[in-house]
Amino acid sequence: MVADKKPLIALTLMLMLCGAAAQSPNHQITKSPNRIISVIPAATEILFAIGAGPQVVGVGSFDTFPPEVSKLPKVGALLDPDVERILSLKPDLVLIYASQTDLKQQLQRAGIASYEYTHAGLADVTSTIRALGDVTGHDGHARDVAASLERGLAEIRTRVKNRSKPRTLLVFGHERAALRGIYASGGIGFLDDMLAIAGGINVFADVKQQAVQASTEQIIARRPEAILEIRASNSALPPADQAAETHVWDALGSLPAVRRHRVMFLVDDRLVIPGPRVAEGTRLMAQALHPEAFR
Amino acid sequence: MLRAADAWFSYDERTPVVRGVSLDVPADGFVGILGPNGSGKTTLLRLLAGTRQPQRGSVTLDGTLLTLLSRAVLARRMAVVPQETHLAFDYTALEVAMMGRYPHLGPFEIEGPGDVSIVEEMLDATGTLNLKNRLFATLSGGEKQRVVIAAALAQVDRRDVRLKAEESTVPGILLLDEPTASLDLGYQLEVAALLRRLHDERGVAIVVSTHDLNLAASLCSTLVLMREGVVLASGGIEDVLTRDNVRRLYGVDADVMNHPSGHRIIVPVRRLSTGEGA
Amino acid sequence: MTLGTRFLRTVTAFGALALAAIVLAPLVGSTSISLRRVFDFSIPFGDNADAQIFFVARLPRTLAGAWVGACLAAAGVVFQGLLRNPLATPFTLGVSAGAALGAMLAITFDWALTAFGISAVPAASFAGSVAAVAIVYALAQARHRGLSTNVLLLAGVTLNAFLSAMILFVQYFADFADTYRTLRWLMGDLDVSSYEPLLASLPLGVLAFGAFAWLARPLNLLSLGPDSAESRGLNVAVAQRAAFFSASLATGAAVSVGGPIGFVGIVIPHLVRLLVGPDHRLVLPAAALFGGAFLVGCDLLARTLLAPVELPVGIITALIGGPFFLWLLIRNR
Repeated sequence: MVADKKPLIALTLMLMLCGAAAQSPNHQITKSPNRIISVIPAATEILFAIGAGPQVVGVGSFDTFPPEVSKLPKVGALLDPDVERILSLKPDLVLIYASQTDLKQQLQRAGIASYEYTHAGLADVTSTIRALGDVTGHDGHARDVAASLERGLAEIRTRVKNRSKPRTLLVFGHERAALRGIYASGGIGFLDDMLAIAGGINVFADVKQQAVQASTEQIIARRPEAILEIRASNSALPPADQAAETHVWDALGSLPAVRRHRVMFLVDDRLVIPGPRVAEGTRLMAQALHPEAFR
Repeated sequence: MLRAADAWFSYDERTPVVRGVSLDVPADGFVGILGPNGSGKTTLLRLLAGTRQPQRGSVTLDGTLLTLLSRAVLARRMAVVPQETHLAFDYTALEVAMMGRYPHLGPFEIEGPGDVSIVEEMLDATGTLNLKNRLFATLSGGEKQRVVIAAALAQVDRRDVRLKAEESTVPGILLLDEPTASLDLGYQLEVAALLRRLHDERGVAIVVSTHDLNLAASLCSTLVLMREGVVLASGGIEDVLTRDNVRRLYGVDADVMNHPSGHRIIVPVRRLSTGEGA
Repeated sequence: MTLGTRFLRTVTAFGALALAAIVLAPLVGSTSISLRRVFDFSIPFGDNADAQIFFVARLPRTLAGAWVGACLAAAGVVFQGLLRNPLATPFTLGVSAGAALGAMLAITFDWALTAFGISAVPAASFAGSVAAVAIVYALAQARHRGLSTNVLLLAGVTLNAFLSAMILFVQYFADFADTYRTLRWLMGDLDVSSYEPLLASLPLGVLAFGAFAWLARPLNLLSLGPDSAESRGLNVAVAQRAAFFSASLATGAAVSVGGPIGFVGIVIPHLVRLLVGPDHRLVLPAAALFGGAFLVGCDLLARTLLAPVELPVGIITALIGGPFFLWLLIRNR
């Protein structure tokens, strides 16, 4: 019950804040595993998208897509992986975050192969899709999924190509009903990549971090022409609250985005899970920034 | 002037530490409360000072129950000098002595020139004026005690424009709890001489608790012997400091004799085994 | 020199320092602004980015720093006087953590209550600090001779650990996504971007400072120990209670604005005592003014050192205060 309320965006953010670990070689993987566990929402989506869904026997607490995962056992997530539960499901491959070194060692001792995953840029999403295809024996299917994802992104890119690109502040959280504790996307990571494809210029592009705590002064000084507030779909923000949260920006009346009423709320998991649906998320961003281009 | 009548007190509502004590401090009194450790001397001083109230019996000042007097009125009449004073912060001797003026000031009032001159006079009277800018913590035990006595004198000083006329004529009372117990012999004599002089020259009444028989004998005019919260004997030195009373008080066999100085002196000889004493 | 003169000199000197900090800090920041544009009122405020940076970003932030610093430093002085221990502070006693837990509960569960003109967050923050102080105070009472440094620090560590766990517990049940913001908030954040939190905490803080003004002399007497203070004519029970509540009020007010910023309550009172001596009638106003200036300075560092990103101001105060605290521990043996 509790787990349902915890938005998976948290995981994404925790990872961003921790900083991305270097991709380490994934070894020990046997030919076409048939009992796979993934504790990563994005990886779970990839597995199902490339046709490896029937091989999945356990998923992370935050995984909600595709709907089939709701019937699978939950084995914890980034901070609280349930090792006993994982072992009892007798997996032959476990997809874990690269920062879960304890879990990795435990799996190693149990002789179970692991695949380490790191949140990074959009390019890494397609390479992860292909890699998981190779590992699970669905390489053909995976290549198709990756290619279609790349096509989707390319299509958005062409749509907005000749539009003037607004300077955009991409916010993924701030204190309720106040402009405090504002976190925004910096100049690296999949959110920054998505924004670039969607035809926006990140106002924090020069800050080479995935997440930036944005001070009021920096926000005013960087004069964003559009503000995108993105949230995971289960972050329990009813439309009335969204309107109220939009209005807190009125305090910064000098921002072009505020004056032109270009503060927009996008509540959708596809924006915050860097999986196969990330092109759809990018499209949502592009539609918000360039509505005319999608008429 | 200051009088306790059948005063009872216990800290835990069960075992009384002061049991039916009656005591009278006259305006020119120099009263010694004498007894072994744990006999209830300190508690009795607290009852006399009004910082604790007896559960039975009464303590009165000029016939008025202490509980009917405000803290400030009480403090302007009586000051307590504890056995030792430890400060949480580094005050100077002058600042410590100045705290004696607290009951004379209103809530947001600061000490005026009159207060400063009274305090400096008292530092002078206790021979500590030259130490006034030293940090209290750096003084010797005897010096500290004299500074605290100066604060007490400044507290009960009656020449205050803010006092009502009838208040300004009555003498102050100093209550000292084992004032020499933690001092070396030299400082003990120094403090004893100071108390004698203050009593004789300034007319303050003094109540001093001690377990030192000879100090009490040389200093006080009246003695109250206490054991286990009860008064064993009280009265003048000659009547009270007898071989029999010393035996009952401390369980010690002692020679009691008169010194050429005129003081009575007590020389402990041997400790009596239990049951042998009282 | 009479006390009156010393008081005037102290307040003038530290007041000038605080004023200088408040006037100068908004002129500096992670971006450069033109002062002429800031005060050019012919430009509509909505169009004037320089004025917005000055009046919306920097000024409320500077005032928040001054206010929080003043509250924490003064509360530190009062706690030290009340517990007769120069190492007592809102932060080391766990009082800040109590206030933070209260504020966290109010923020997380969105208590929008306003009673008697006091908003929910400062009120909850105050309630938290009172609860934490009550525990420390009960300990001090149970041990008649006051709190030794050992007991005090142990109690503080225990309380801090316990309350921090409670804060994370509250977060865990409320909204996991806010955990990272909670962590950031717990390190202190003065970027208020409006005057609202300040105004909301003002009634509590003003009440506290009213009590501090009366408490200055009683605190001097309390440093003699309760028995001696009582015999000097002080109603010790009343003074202790007043000190306990007003210091909690000030801590609650400070934490509701800026989070539990540490070490201001120990660094400032000590420096001030070195400069003006231990008389609380000088220490309290001086500490409040100096504390305000100090935190404004720390926040200036926090927002400019790594610009365009910023450091939590609590890291700056900890970098200064941590070693200072250790030095005090060594010096006091």
